[in-house]
Amino acid sequence: MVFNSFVFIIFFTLVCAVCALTNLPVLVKNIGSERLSSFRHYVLLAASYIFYGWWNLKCCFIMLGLTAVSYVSAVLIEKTGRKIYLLAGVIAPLAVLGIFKYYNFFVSSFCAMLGLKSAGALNIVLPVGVSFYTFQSLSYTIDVYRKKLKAEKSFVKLALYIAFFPQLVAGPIVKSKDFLPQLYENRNITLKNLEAGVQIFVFGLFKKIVLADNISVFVDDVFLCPKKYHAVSVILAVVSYSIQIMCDFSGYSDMAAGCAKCLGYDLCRNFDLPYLSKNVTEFWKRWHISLSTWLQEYLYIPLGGNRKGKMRTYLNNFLTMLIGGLWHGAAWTFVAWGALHGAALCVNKAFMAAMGRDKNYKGNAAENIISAAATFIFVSFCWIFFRADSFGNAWQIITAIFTRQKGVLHISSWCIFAVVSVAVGYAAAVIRSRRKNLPAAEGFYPILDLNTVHGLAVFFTALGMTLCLAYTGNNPFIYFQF
Amino acid sequence: MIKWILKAAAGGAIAFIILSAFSAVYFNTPVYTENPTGETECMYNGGQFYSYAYEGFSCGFTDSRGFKNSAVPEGTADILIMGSSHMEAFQVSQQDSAADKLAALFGGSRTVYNIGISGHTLLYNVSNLEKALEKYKPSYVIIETGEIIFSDKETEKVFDDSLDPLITHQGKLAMFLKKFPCVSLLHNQYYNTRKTGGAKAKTPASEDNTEKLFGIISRVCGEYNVRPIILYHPHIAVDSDGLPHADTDTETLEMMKGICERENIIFADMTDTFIGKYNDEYILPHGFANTSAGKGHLNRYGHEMAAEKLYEAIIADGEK
Repeated sequence: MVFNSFVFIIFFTLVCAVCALTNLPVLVKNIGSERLSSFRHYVLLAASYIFYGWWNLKCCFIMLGLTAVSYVSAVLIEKTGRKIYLLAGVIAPLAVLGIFKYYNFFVSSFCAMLGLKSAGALNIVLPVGVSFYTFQSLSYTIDVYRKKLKAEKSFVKLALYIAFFPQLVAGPIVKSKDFLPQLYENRNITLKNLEAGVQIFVFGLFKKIVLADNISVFVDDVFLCPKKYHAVSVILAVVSYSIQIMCDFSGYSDMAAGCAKCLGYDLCRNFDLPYLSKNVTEFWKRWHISLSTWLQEYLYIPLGGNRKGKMRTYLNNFLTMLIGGLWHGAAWTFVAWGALHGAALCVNKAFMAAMGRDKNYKGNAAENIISAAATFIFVSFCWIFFRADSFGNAWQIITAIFTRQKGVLHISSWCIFAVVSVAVGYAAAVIRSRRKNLPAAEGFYPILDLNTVHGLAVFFTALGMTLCLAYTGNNPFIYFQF
Repeated sequence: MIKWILKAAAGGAIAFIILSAFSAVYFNTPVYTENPTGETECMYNGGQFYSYAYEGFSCGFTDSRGFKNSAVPEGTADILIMGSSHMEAFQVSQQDSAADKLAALFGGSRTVYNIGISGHTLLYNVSNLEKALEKYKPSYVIIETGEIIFSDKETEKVFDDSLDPLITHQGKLAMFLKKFPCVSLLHNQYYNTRKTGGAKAKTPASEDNTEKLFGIISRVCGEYNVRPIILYHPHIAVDSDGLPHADTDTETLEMMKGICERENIIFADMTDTFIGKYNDEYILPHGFANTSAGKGHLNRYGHEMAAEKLYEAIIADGEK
């Protein structure tokens, strides 16, 4: 079940309807808002497992097992303070990841290295979104161990935190300290939440099914057969992929945030106009924010962060990005992508230190534009490894560009449309946020007043345009594979 | 609540007007009606405005007979083009269509009329051939096809005149709603989401049935003293080494060519021309800036090459 499907619309409407029923004054009066709140948690948990089981019922048991391990280990950590329970709570999710996501990759890589015929591979299906919910379960256990959070006494609440369907399969990676407290508040569907949630959802839907999916036709063609295309088309495909992955993933994050908002919950913002970043360090503060903060909090800082000298800081940055790359997928191309970003982070930090600039340094306008353009070019170059099926494929793309390859000169109008749309969206967000003194990302979400004819007309037009221009083929979200 | 519903209705009406204005440019195809004279299964209303940017781009008006031509010749036409949506050419401007290009190549010495219309595969065109020749009395008839594999079952339907009607599946309500471009576009979007997978692989018709099919073309054209030309335009695929090849069934193609030779039908095969164009200029005959390169309908280069090939074929035939 994906957000941009008829099945999901029906499913979500039903979930909303059941939750909205608990708002009825007669029920609140007779049953009490606390019990109704608990009832909603059961409904949302059941809905989350149905949502997940729609892909593969067996995977629900993996998630349930992981939840049970996290629950028990957190309770025992709190009770005894012993490290062994932390280890159990950390090893279990890592083992799930290791077996389902990385085992076959490492076995085949090892065999290839020794020139052996690949042996011992497991015939298993990668559970959708496993990287996301294992990280959530990890963060919960670690937070309890660090005493940042109390162990959750209610199994249902913890299970709902791990399985909450809007963010279950492709994030954002919600931290337990941000979400669990919301379950103790009387949150439910309200007209105000619906008004905002539906608009954020439609905004994400537009980014996904109009921009990302229509671009994907061209990008897929070029990456499938780079030798067919002219260098200019290959460059356009690389730039377009940068736009596609942003629209695809941030579109999903918006839809997730929109769904959660409709149900009364707030998810963290996952993107903050990333292609305005002036260096790679800033890029990782604006791109997939929930992952980068997770990696910082649960990997970079435990590795020593910047507390153990210059060289160790560089090494920690590099290792964090390397593991971040591997998190995205079990392939060496992802590792290379992570390594490139890790190296760039080190270079950026060394450059800043050499120039005597601190993290608050603000250059002049020309400097900022050049820095943003250079960062975009570097990030786009790195996406080649992220998108390519193999190093051979990535090499074909790179050589096509640098040898000024001749071929079909195909300038996809959808890509031009998407690039222009994103540029206009960014400009509008910056102008709007400056005018209203908001963070830039906040300006990206035009929340209309749906109590006015004008607001409704704009909303219906936007919805209609989204449906009219939608790509109608089958195109799953890129981040589902992670 | 009632107040909000009224506001929503007003907002919805405004949105509908805006979306209709957009769709009038983006997806405004004329509405089909049944063709009473039978040279095609269906036709458009005459003088109807169209604008299409869904795949390629074109805009203009249908001609007074309900087809897509720059001009309607008085009385008959020297060259009649029958074909599918490729010849209908909603994806390119009128002057870039094969029909207009061919007329331009003849410099006005021969009139060309195009009755190509969506859904009309080779089988439908063979089935309607007699009525078309009766009506337009051309010297040459061009039957365009991008497909050469038809099953025995489909082919036999031509012999007993039982091909499935092309437009009767659309009810009156659907036809009425299709007059609104916005509704038509949304219907098209919905229809496309329901499509699953690609076309099923077919087993080509037997040589006997193919011979019988082309025999009909030969016989009917003979009766009306018309020279038939089959225009075949395969899709060109490019492999991972950047080398082009025709996406075609060579065995069936060779069989068809042999039958055409025996039946005295000119077979204008675009394969070599298309591959040559790719090798020389990296230009593919199908696809547009807003679709995949090399996939979909004939683009302006494809139409141009087709027109040149047809012109050469007619001149060569005249010289004989």
